[in-house]
Amino acid sequence: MTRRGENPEAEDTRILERIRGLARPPAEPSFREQLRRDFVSGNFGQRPRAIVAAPRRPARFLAWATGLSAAASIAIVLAVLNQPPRWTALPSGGSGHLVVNGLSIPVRDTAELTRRMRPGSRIRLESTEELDLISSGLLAMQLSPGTEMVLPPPPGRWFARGPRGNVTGGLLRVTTGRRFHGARLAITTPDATVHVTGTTLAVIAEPTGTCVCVLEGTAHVAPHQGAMTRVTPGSSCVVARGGQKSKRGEMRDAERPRLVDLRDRMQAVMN
Amino acid sequence: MTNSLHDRTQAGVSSVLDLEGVRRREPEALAAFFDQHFDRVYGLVYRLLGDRHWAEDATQEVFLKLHRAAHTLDPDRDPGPWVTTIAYNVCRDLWRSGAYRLSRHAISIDDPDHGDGAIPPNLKDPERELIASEREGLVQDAIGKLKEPLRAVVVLREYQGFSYEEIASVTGTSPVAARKRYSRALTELGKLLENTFE
Repeated sequence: MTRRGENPEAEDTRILERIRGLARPPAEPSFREQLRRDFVSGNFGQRPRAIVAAPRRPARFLAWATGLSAAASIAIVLAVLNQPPRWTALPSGGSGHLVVNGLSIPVRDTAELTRRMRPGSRIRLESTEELDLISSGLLAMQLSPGTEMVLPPPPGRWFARGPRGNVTGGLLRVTTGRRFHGARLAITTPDATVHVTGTTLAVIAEPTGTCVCVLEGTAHVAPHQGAMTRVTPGSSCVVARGGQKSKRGEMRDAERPRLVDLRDRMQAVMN
Repeated sequence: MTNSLHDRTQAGVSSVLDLEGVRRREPEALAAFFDQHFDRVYGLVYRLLGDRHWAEDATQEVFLKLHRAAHTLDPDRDPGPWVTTIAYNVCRDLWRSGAYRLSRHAISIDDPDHGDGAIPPNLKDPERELIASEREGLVQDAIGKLKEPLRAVVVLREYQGFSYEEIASVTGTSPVAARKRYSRALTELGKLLENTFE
């Protein structure tokens, strides 16, 4: 016996000989004559029920529709499960307002603040004290009075893990949580973009430029028209307004205790 | 003469038929048209459906559709591909019907019509004819076990003598896909008929 693979052409020839050797199936003469009469007269008898009921093209359509709806359901479930914890405002001791998309909300009304703060919201802190925001387990941010920014979305659980935020002016301190691992937050200022991949740092957007102070971990700072700089723990990086280069140095003394405090408090709350 | 050559010869003769008469549904023209195409249609649907009863039902449906659509027949073109396409579409609709699928599962091995596809044995050499008949039954069974798209390509190519382009036109696929299906069908048939090569 010849096995296919050893000599496929010979095998095909033998198969074709068998197939071609089949005699033409004969029809019953009575059936043929009856059908001939029907065809010539145009008067056909009762049609077979199975043929009349045969579907036109539902099988493929149903398969596609089922597949698409299943895929859509899976996508919806994944999108829901991927949702990160939303931003939550922690109680603040100061007095004043947080302006969220032009709407002024007292900083002591944490429930309303939490309800109003959506990713992409433009916020400005007009208060006497800092305001802490957390996304449980992922990220904590501290806004200093006078800070104006566009709120970034917290990173998703499996995808959409590269959120972007924007600090127009002021001081923003950030510390990342345990579940931030693998994500990448980009914070843009008028002078540079700061890439955060697991760290505690401060982003200070001043009229003269942007200063990034890193307490622990590393951050990458890229001037809008220059090369990216790696900022190590305990150091800072300054990008002058309109500058193409960054200048490295020691982190600001005033920032160290504030960042340590933020990290310790937020790690206790988040993780 | 092989089946496919026979079919081709028949199709070629169509040009001398009175197709204008068929368009006008004149009885004589319809009778000639029927005689010209019946064996081809019956053979095709029998090979595609693998069962005499279904083949008869499908053949009846094909000629009903041909009669209804006779006025659309182009007298300047060979009606062979048109007839084949209608026959194939009737079979395809049947494949999708629940009744046909159910019957495929319920066919009894005692059904004398099931899958034999053979001409009644010639009594001159009963033993040899019996063996030949059994082998033909095995081949028809193997064709019937192919998945419908593969079966259609084999039947259209081997029993209708169609090119890959013509098969693609009838089955609504591409010539490349038709060629691949044909190759896959031969591989499947090789496995199914492995034990009959001795």
